Amino acid sequence: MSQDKGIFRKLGKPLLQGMIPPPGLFPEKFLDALSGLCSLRGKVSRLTNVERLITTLRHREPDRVPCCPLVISGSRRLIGASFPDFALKPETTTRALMAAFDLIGGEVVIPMLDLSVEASDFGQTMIYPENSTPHPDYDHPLITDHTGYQKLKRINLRDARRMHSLVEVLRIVTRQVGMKGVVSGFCFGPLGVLCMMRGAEHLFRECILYPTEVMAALETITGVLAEFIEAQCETGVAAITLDTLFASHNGLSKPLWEQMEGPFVRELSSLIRSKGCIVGVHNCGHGSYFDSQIRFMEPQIMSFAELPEGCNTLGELKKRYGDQVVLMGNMNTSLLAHAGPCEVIQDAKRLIEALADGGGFVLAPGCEYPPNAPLENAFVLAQAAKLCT
Amino acid sequence: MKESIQQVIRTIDELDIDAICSVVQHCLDEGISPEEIIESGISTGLSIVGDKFESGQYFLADLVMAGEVVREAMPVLQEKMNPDMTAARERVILATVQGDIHEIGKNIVGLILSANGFEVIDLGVDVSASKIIDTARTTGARLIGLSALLSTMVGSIRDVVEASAKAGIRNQLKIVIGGACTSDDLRLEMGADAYGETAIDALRIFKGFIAAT
Ligand code: B12
Repeated sequence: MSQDKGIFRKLGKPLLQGMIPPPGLFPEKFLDALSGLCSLRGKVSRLTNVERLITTLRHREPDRVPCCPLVISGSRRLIGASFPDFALKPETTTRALMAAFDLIGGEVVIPMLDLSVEASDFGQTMIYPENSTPHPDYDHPLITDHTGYQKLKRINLRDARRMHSLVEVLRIVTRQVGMKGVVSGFCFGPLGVLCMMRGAEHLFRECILYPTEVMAALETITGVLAEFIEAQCETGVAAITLDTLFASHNGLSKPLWEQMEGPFVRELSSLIRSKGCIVGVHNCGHGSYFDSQIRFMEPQIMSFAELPEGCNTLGELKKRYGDQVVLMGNMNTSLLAHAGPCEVIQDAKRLIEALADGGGFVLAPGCEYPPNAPLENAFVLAQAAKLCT
Repeated sequence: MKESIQQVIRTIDELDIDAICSVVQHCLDEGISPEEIIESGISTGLSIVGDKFESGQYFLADLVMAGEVVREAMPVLQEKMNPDMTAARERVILATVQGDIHEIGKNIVGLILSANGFEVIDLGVDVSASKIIDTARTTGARLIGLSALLSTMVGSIRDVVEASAKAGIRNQLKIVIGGACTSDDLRLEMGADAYGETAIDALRIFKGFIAAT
């Protein structure tokens, strides 16, 4: 009884604040019944954004596919902000992301800054170009040889300026989005974070030659990421997306990935679930290992840019993984940067036809909407979700 | 093909970094020239690994590791190389264009070129057009390879072409582009001289330019 009370409090508080409670706290049966009802209602009237997503996440057909335009640093253009301001000033980031949500639309918002947030807090020197996404100063990597991995020091989240900024952004965005959509936090996987402090090539080589040393660093990083994730969950986000780029042909072999990063992301995904949040996984690599990532992280959503290993067509992908995870993606980012609106609509149609049957699909770019591309196609993408169903 | 050369190919294909130096040394001891070891052994080994990567049998980490295996063997070979050969080596400037930090593809191109006797001047990533053209002027390099993976940064290729025209050296240079977001159409649009899809293409194109002069 007292346990029930606790759950009601956990559900009630966010609801009273106009926010979505952690979805994992709702009983499965309730979510099934609700999504069943929404799916029925969707046949005759329009669903709200959240209803549409709940239905999709429960693998039932909503009124139309939901969309996540993934306009991240591209959103800065809507408010005339620079790349460094977007990356470093939480107030600017929030304004830009909310402008994108309000103007472009979509049901899912994934506020993030860039892929170097965690690394820069560990002490990696950064470059903040005026006209492009921030990145590590590769001439001065934090880890300079294989002995550096074990020397990597754990940092305190309180002193982590950039991670703190993202938590701040999430806190405001979840409030402002409220019940109008679903917000997901974001965390680069420990191997990705390490790549930003060592450089991809050295890291790959050393995963093969010095696995024990590399794993020591991964453990240190995972400890910090766990705190980071907890802080993100407390902001009221409904989901957290983990990026495990190197579980793909653009990274390590499958057994090596399972050995190196698998156990750490298992820990992080369990933590996310224990907070009642949905686990999302993003991987924009070629031939991503869906099977391993599903086994280690048990995600509810997989966001992808390329066909996973073992699938030659979208049809095969849907057949093999469509009932295990909600698929999100995979519009080509080059197409979004260069094609005209009709091509984007045609491509959306192709994806919806292949993947939306029976629910379980979110229309989205395969990776962040190209930060410097004109934003017209982001608007078209969000509209295409409405048109092509 | 000689068994010892085949052994070089196998060692690269198996990514055996511990064995490569002795395998290469064995070839040298048999009297095979460093040039032949590079041409028939190392290049073939790398292209097998490259093909396996393209077909999904190998992973990026393996590709990088194969590079590492070759890098390990280079000092052994260079020691025995004909000094005339090394002096006459053609220079190639490689860079990832401004605004883009993807370096792996470029580095693989660099490795294949240096394994085939080119002198590679690697300017790194996020390199401005002026730095590339200044380097061409100061080193006298005529060949430039530009790598681009971010579609929104492809304008940086045109910047290099224009900067070379402005410096009055456009017709002395051959500018080759590559990287996941490039294509032959893009080459035309940007005014570059050639487009290569893979690192092996890069080698073929640069060799072609040298042969034509
Ligand atoms: C690894 C990777 C990263 C790593 C890079 C590590 C490093 N140090 O290089 C990290 C994680 C750091 C990264 C960061 C980012 N990335 Co990235 N990344 C990739 C990924 C997964 C693989 C790229 C790679 O290394 N491929 C392997 C190499 C061997 O292939 P290659 O580069 O194509 O090279 C071959 C050929 O093209 C050719 N070649 C290459 N260069 C040249 C040159 C010449 C002259 C010739 C002839 C041939 C040639 O030879 C090579 C061997 O055959 C791709 C996705 C993908 N599926 O390709 C995304 C991708 C390139 N990234 C992308 C993006 C958007 C980013 C970020 C902006 C993300 C962010 N929000 O922060 C940042 C970039 C910031 C910046 N300013 O550049 C997008 C680009 C979209 C677009 N079309 O514009 C991609 C395509 C992902 C996607 N599907 O959307 N990324």
